[in-house]
Amino acid sequence: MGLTTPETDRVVIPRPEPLRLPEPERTPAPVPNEPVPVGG
Amino acid sequence: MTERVLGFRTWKLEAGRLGSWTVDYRWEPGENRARCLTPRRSACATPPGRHCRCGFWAAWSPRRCVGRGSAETDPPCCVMGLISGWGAVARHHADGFRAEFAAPMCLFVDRPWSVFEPVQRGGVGGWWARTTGRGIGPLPVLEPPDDDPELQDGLLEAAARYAIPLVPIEAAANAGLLAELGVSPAQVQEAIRSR
Repeated sequence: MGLTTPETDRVVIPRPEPLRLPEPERTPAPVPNEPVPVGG
Repeated sequence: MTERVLGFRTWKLEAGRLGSWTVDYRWEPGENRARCLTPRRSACATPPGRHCRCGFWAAWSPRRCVGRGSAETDPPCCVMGLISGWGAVARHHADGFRAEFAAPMCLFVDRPWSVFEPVQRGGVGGWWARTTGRGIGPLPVLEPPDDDPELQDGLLEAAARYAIPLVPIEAAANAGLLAELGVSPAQVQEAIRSR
């Protein structure tokens, strides 16, 4: 089990950044309805 | 900067956990750090040691991965997956790599082993030809068993424990999952059916 061929070279690889999901699109908060003047 | 390496390997599936084959080690979800557990001499200070086999191994392609297990795998509990490796990484030419750190990235439902034939002759030949459309000789095609509820439960449990996808490798390649995980185009081509 494992690799059977000889090592050919080696590198040092930095710890990967964790995968990040894209931010969900933000929808603007609903504006409360303005009271509509009635009559006059 | 060298990017992380990704490769294919097999594990023993034990009660929903991924176990190494030659040493007594159960993989953890996320980051795993290798220790040299050689019984023959003093352990390497920092795996992967030179002239040693320590470190988390993986093969560049599924075909080479399965070939690694030709003599010792126990098909009923064998599972194949994708890992990423980083830290000190020893590369073994066209074969694969050994890494100081590794994390499971994906598990595959594919069962390219046969309990009836040595892996190189039957299981891999047929599976490889079906998966890539490229034959490696006049070998019998053996369908992987898919009616083992205990195995399927174990795979599902492992995928949940390690929080990684559990998919057919061909679908993972065709749907772009392997590329999304960072697998190189050449490696993806190894797993795509070309017919």
